[in-house]
Amino acid sequence: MSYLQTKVLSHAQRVRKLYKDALREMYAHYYERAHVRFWCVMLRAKFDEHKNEPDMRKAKQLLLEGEKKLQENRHPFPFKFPHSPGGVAYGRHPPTPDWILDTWHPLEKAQYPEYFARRDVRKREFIERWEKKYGKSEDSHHH
Amino acid sequence: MSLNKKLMIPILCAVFLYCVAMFLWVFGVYMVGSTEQSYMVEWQFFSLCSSVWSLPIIVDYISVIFSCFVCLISGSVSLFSMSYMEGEVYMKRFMMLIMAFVGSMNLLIFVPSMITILLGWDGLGIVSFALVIYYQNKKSLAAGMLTVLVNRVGDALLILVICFLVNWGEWRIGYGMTGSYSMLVCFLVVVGAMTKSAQIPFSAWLPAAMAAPTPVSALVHSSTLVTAGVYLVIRFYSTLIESQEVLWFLSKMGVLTLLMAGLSACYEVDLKKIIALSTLSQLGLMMFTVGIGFPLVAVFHLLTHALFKALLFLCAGSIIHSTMDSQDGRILGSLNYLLPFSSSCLVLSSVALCGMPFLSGFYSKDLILEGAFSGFSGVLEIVIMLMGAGLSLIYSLRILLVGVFGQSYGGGLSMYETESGYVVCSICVLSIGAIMGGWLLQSVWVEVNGFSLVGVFGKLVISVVTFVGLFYSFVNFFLSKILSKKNPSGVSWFLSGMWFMNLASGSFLAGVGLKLGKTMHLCLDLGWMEVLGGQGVFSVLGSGVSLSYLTQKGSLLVYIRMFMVMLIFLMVCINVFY
Repeated sequence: MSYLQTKVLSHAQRVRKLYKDALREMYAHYYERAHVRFWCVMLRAKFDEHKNEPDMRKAKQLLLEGEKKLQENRHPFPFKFPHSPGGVAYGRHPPTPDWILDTWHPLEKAQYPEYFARRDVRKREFIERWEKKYGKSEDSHHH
Repeated sequence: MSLNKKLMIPILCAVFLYCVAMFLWVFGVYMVGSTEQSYMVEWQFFSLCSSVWSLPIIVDYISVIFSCFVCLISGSVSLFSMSYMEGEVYMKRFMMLIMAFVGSMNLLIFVPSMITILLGWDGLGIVSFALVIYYQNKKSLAAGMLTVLVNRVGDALLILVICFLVNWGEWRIGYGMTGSYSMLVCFLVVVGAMTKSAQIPFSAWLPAAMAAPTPVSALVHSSTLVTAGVYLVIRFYSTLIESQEVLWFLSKMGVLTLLMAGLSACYEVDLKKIIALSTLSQLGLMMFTVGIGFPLVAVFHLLTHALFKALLFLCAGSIIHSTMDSQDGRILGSLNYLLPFSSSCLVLSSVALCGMPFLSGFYSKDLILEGAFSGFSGVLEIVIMLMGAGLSLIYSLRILLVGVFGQSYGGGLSMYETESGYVVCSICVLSIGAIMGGWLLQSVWVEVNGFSLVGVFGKLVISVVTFVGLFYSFVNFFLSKILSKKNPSGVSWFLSGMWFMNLASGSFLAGVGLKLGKTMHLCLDLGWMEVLGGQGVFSVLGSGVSLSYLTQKGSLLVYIRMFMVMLIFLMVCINVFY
């Protein structure tokens, strides 16, 4: 795990996570939808086989074996949707900060009168709330 | 139809580039081709105290036709950008980068001097960096850094070549360049060209550079950046022929790249990366052809390849644009119903890449295979090259079966868009080139006008061995058993990861380069005096001021910590002294 784990996962959560990851791996491995469905059903059957395992030690052993098998069978090119994190188009168009709208010319703003009227009201309310909570800002040259 | 101001820029660029391409074609065929002469123009800037500054310009058949193809493809790419980059705010900046790229490439083509060629060579490297990081995300930046660092290795090698050529007294390529350290100079040129053409072990940057917008990929990977290395080697061939060991090395590296890229393309799932790896494979084939002594055939393949590869990229770009940035073969599918025009042109360019008879790729690939059979290359090389030719069929068919004719994982087809008129026009122009380019070139260019060296049996072997790939690909795709689960083995990780080239030329080369750069900056540029003196004192004072500021922030937590530290210190002191 390349990141710092900040919460403890229960056994059931880890099993569900393993199942979800394994399902996603199926999409990476197979091109035909029928093949994917077949192997997803097989996977579900395998999980259901040990669904009511009473022995916790065996259940943990099964979970560890499943996680190991998943790691061993990882596809070299994992399946990612283009705009999801890790996808080819992720972060391609960075979100524009809100203060950019303050720099618009009045004539430009006039093209969207309703939007800017509502925005001005919300902005004024936000500043009032802020000043009520933290006091007036000394620096007036902020956005 | 009213065109807004933003779209006028690419259309003007496209018209200009098409006009230049047309002029160069007429000039090349009727003025240079008919006379079969080369012209060298020395444009003297100034002369002072017997020191002459001049810019030599070479006008021969190769340079004129190559430049014509570059302009034709760039024109199509500009036209295509009108649709693909329609949401782009800074269209002018994008087109300026494209034009700077085309200008650098033309400088490289027409200038045969090792010193002034650096202008075009460096220009390509820098502008390619700007284009690869055009989408401002971390992935693009990493790809851009990899591209520029590997290209800088090539630049450094060319500068070393210039240093050695001072002894020879001649910087013009191919004009009696002989002298001491001949083999070393040739080796440096070849390795420098290998960095630009992404040959083993510098291959990692080429698939990574696919992070650029697709029109840029079409330009970079068909006729400009990656072909610059092959072009330099071809220009330098008259000197390289004196060092047979270097040509031997070049052919071996070329054929290994051909195999490596072909195998990786058979595992890749990203549409653009498959096409990039196929480019890498064809570049290996060109380097191999130069290495075995057929530079003109390599030029011929370079030109035909530029046409059908640009078409392939534009068709892929049209598909990606229409399917909302999807380029994973597992998501794409059923595109023959949605985009019949782009899909059919993708089929056309793929079969041209396979070497389908009477399309562009057939003429040049056939010559290369015949040349390899008849040349002095080893048996193993020929076997690997035939495997590479077979692999080209497998990955071409893979593009079609997975990307176009397969099943779609995405949403309904009604969510997708169809191609615009600009895309159709740009693809039409290149389709004509992909169909007729090889035939036209062979008609007007005597040196590559076909030769039969291997006889009927040789032709039969070439046909059988290469089309075995087609058969294998069909069998693999249609008869794959649903019950035989496919688990990736170590071999598939090795083959799909380009033989771990991304570690060799990516992490290792770029990482070592950056660390060495930092060390040299500290030890040589700054020196110990600067590190311990100015910079060091500034750093220590900065840290001290930050610490002092921390204690004066008025934070209760800081005061408690200080109190605790002082208390412990006091207790230790009392314990020690009393």
